[in-house]
Amino acid sequence: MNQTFALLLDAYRELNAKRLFWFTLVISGLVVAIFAMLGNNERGLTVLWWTAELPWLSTSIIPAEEFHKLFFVNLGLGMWLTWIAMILALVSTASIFPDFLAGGAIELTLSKPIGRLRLFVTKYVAALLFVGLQVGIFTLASFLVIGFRGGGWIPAIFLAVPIVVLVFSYLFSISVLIGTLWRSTIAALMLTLLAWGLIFIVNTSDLGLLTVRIGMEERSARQAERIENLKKTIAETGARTESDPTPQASGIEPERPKEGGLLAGLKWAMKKTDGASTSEESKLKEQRERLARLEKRLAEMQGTAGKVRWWHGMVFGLKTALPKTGETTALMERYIVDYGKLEQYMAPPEDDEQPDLNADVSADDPRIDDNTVGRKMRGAIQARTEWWIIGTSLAFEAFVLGIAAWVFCRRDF
Amino acid sequence: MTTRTATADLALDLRGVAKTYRGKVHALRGIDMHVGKGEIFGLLGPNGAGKSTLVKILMTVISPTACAGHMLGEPVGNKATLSRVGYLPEHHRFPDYLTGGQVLDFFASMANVPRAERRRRAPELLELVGMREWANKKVKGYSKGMRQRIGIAQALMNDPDLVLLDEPTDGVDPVGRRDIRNILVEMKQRGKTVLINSHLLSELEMVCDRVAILVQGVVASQGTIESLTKGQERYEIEADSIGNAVVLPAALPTGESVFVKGSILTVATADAQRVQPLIDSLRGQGAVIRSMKPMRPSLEDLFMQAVTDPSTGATLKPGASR
Repeated sequence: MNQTFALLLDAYRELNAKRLFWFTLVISGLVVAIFAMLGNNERGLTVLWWTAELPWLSTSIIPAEEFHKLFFVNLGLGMWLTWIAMILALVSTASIFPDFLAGGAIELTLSKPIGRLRLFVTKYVAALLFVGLQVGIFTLASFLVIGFRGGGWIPAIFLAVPIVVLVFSYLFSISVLIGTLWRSTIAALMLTLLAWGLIFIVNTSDLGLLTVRIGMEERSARQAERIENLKKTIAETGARTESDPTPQASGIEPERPKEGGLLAGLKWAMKKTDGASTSEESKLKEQRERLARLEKRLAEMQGTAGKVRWWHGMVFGLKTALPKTGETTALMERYIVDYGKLEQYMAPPEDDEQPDLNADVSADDPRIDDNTVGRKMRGAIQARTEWWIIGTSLAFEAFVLGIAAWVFCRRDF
Repeated sequence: MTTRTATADLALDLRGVAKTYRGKVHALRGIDMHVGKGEIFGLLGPNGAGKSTLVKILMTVISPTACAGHMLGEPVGNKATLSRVGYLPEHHRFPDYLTGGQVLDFFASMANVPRAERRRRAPELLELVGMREWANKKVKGYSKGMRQRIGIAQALMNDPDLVLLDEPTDGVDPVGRRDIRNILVEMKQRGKTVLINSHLLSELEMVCDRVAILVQGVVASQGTIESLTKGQERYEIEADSIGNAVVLPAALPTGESVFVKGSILTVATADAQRVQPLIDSLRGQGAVIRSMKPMRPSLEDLFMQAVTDPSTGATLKPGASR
């Protein structure tokens, strides 16, 4: 206990000595101050005592509590804690392991009656605790702001503390591995940021491919529907042609000749009967050609969808092995933002007629509703369980830390 | 039974300690060494002989390739034993953000020293190493000598039974060196064992009871300075008017050789009685005897002998062997 406390105290002193620790805390305070200054009322956005007439931000669209929650999730968590504060925390802590392992420093610590693994883990946890401290202060301040300004006391926002620490721990484990291998702060920081960039690219690719995949599947489904409808139409037309081959069927009559006598009259009568039959058949022919085109497009779409599915599967597999920084942070949104409620506020009035996107049947490709794709997309993302998001990320972290700990425990200093 | 008793009297009993680094660098090639309890023991050797490697193996900083030794009665590598050992590494670096007092407190905590004990011992040790007034100043403002003093204080915070000091007087001024010597002597008087690794042979000679000289990863010689110089003692006689007028014998009647270099005569004996006939002869020929003193090889002489190839007379190359 003596030793653990000493290591925690030492970690505090080390971070306390770094100006960046206090700089981050001060900026966090400023972010919360901005957060406290902003609000909304029945007319729009409020900044301290002033109101900006922005009806789409008014309380009739977004209730005050939801406004502050969204603000916290998108600005406080999504922007500040996830990106800026995270980078500052990585910069602050990148030197912890390289300095700890530096020649002349590590010998003394290792010469004490403490196991190397315990030393390693305590040092790692100490760094996480102080990031937790920073996030804890920010979240507490945000909790008070949402309570006093938004009128809602939401203890769930304290979930931001473990969530942000968790995300930080994924990245810090990479920093620790590199710091342990090369004992270089610059290498630890740069390669961690690079790894984070790669994770971001994989995540963006996953979301992009998922959107394309859902869009393609939606399009294919719509196309299949159109094909079914067209087949019905063809069947009806075909049946009509067979049962009622009368001239009236087409409704278009050839023009009667004004001169030419009886022969010309007979020719006109024959042409009139043949024309009706030709018009119905050409319509059927045209519909069949169209059906072939649509089926060909559907096959192409399904081929493309298959390729997109394959690529998405590959990216998803890669993503499964990597830490899921974005999705872990997004868990917060799941826990505190009630999308059902928001959609209720933002939904168009029930009596509004929705245009039929596929009313234009002449186009080869069907049109799809972006909202439907968005909803399906959200559904697909939300179908990814917390266990998958956190469990696979922690597995990555454990693997990386395991290598670092193994190197640390085996190395001669 | 005899072995157990002997081991119980030893602070360090090392057998076959070997370390081979990657690339087949043999830093240690089977060290057999013992240090008695209550001794001040000097570990000497040229650069790369393996002195620091040996100390680091004892402190679990480096894992040995082979080791069948004991430290304070426990196998080498036993972590719990380290709470009874103090250590000052060579080129140590304390965290810049700590004050001298915090350095003592932190490393004593890591050695499981209770808080009350730490509070009691820190001011005493700061006083002992002459750093009391600097206790609340950050280490980054310390000179090298001051860091060394704080380093020695931290090595003593757990009131160790055995202290391993790697180059403790490095960067320390003459006054500081004397202070450190006094601390070592005081520790010995309190029954503590001290192992010092140093290049300052004259310093070691003043305080060490026994020494070991490491050369290329093996112990070239070990024992008390008296035992190591046994058979190499001599008398030096300084006399005026030694020239052509004085006839000198090539050897004493008892067989010991006599060498002349300027006004100095060297007789290869430790027995003053045997030198008397030579003095009588010199005085009889009118030479003035200025001094006569017994001499023995210095630690430096022993060291140089150890690092010199007897067949070629050349100094052995520094570093470990491959």
